[in-house]
Amino acid sequence: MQKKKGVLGVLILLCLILFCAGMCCGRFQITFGELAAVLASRFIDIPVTWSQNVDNVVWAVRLPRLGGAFFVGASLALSGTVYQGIFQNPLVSPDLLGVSAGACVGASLAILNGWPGTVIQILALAGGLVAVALTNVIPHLFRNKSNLMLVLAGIIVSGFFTSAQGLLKYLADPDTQLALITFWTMGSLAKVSASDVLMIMPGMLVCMGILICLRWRINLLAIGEVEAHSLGVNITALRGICIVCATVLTASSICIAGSVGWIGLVIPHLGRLLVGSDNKRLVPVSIFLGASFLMLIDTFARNLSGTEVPLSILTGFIGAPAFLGLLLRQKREI
Amino acid sequence: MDELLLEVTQASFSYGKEEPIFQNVDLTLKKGEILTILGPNGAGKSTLLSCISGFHKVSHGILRIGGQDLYKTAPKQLARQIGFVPQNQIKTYEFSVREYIAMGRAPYLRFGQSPSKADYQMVDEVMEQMNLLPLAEKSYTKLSGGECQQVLIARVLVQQPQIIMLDEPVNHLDYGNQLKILRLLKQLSARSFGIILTSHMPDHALLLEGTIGIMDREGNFTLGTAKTLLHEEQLQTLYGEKICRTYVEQAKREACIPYPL
Repeated sequence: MQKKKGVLGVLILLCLILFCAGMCCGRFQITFGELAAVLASRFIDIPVTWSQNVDNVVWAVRLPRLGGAFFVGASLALSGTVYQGIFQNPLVSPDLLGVSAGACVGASLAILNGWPGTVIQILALAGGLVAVALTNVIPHLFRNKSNLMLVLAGIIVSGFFTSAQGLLKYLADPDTQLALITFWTMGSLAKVSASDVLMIMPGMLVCMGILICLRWRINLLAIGEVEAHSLGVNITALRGICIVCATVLTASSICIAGSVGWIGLVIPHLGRLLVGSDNKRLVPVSIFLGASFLMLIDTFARNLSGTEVPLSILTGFIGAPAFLGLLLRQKREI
Repeated sequence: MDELLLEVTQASFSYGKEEPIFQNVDLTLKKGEILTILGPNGAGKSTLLSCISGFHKVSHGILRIGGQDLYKTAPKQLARQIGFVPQNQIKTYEFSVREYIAMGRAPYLRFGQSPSKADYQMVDEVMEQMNLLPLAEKSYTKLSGGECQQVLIARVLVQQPQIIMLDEPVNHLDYGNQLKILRLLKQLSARSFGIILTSHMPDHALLLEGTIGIMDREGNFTLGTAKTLLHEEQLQTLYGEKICRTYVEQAKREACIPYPL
């Protein structure tokens, strides 16, 4: 295993490039010079040479959208990395553990009732936590903690919550709410506003901060409970904190972008290919890799055709074959 | 060298109200002492080690480590005193050998801390002593059985415990590596580590020249020496086979050898 240095630096640079590209591209083309000037104009005094439209597009439309893409991509990739580490299972992700489905049900419930943003966020989080708790409990019932059992538990819980989601769709008003919920379960950043991003940012930043601090400790959970215990690790506390933080990240992402699949599964694997399994290096790499990936996908989503393509369609078309490729490359025995 | 490290008094363990896995275990471990626990599969040897590591809690009895109640010792404090090499490792991720050994520093790190340069320096020193440096960047999932066992012991050494416990450390190793690991354990005991291991081979207990504990199928535990425990009758009840302990002139040591088949 070679140590590849500078991967993180390259990824941060990539993030910046994709951010600028995303800001410039779209139905309303903006040059890089204009973009720099518009962004800088809020901080320093420069003569205004652009139209008010440009200012609007940059500040009110694209910045929140790319900010959202950055945070959602980073959060999903980070939570996937954390789940895979603490469950000692590289096959899990927020989707496979049922967290996404649980959070979707919580959020849809709030949307159907027309409740405000904070309630959507709280219910999404509650749904996600209930789902991950159930998935975690099922292998205990069988006294079987194999990778397969956990994945099966995830399928059971996901299946249940997907049905609950179906029921909510069935009950939704087909003229107004149904389209909204359907479109939203496929994932989209089209309706993201600055206030949405600002609402979820504090929770996300806190959880990211905690997980970044604990990233080396996740290694200890990844080598197994008996060994972690013999190293003096408080397993229940550490795992609990990690699960709550990862679930907050997933649920918050779902609140603003709906459910975007594949990122939490594929990005950690890609990260491991780049820097190895040590979570000390993998966690920051996953964050920027996930952010880059979703910024890229979202820029495609709004530029590919006249209408918006839902994100999950694109992440699935890219993620599924990519995952197959990664598995082939690792030649994992499953 | 005579300092008492561990004292187990009248310990027994059972899952809920089921039959006890082991019962009435009395044992002590001093600095520099090697205790080899023999017994058939499923006798409860591993469960006993698991209880001493603090992972399981005994149903009855008292465990004292350095004079303190083991179960009232803070987990980190306990981890600074006992290092444990379990039988099966979960090898899901390809950590490098160096990263893996560094995990042994966990009991000395605060909650949000990662190993420092000084910690890695200690890791490198231990790897150098054990001639593991060539493996430093290799994935620990790709090690051979003997290498893996050495890496596990290295991880325990950077933990700087007083007691090292190993659950069947030479199981699944080829003969040469078995002897290599046993020699390593002998050297560690000379460095005043107290060592507890389980084994299927009575001859290993003789090679290690330490104390012997026997756990029978019913989970009863007897502590003694080769002289008091490893006689034909005892070996017959333990393994259901005729095995003798005899002095081998050429090797200049006592050995346990089965009779012809």
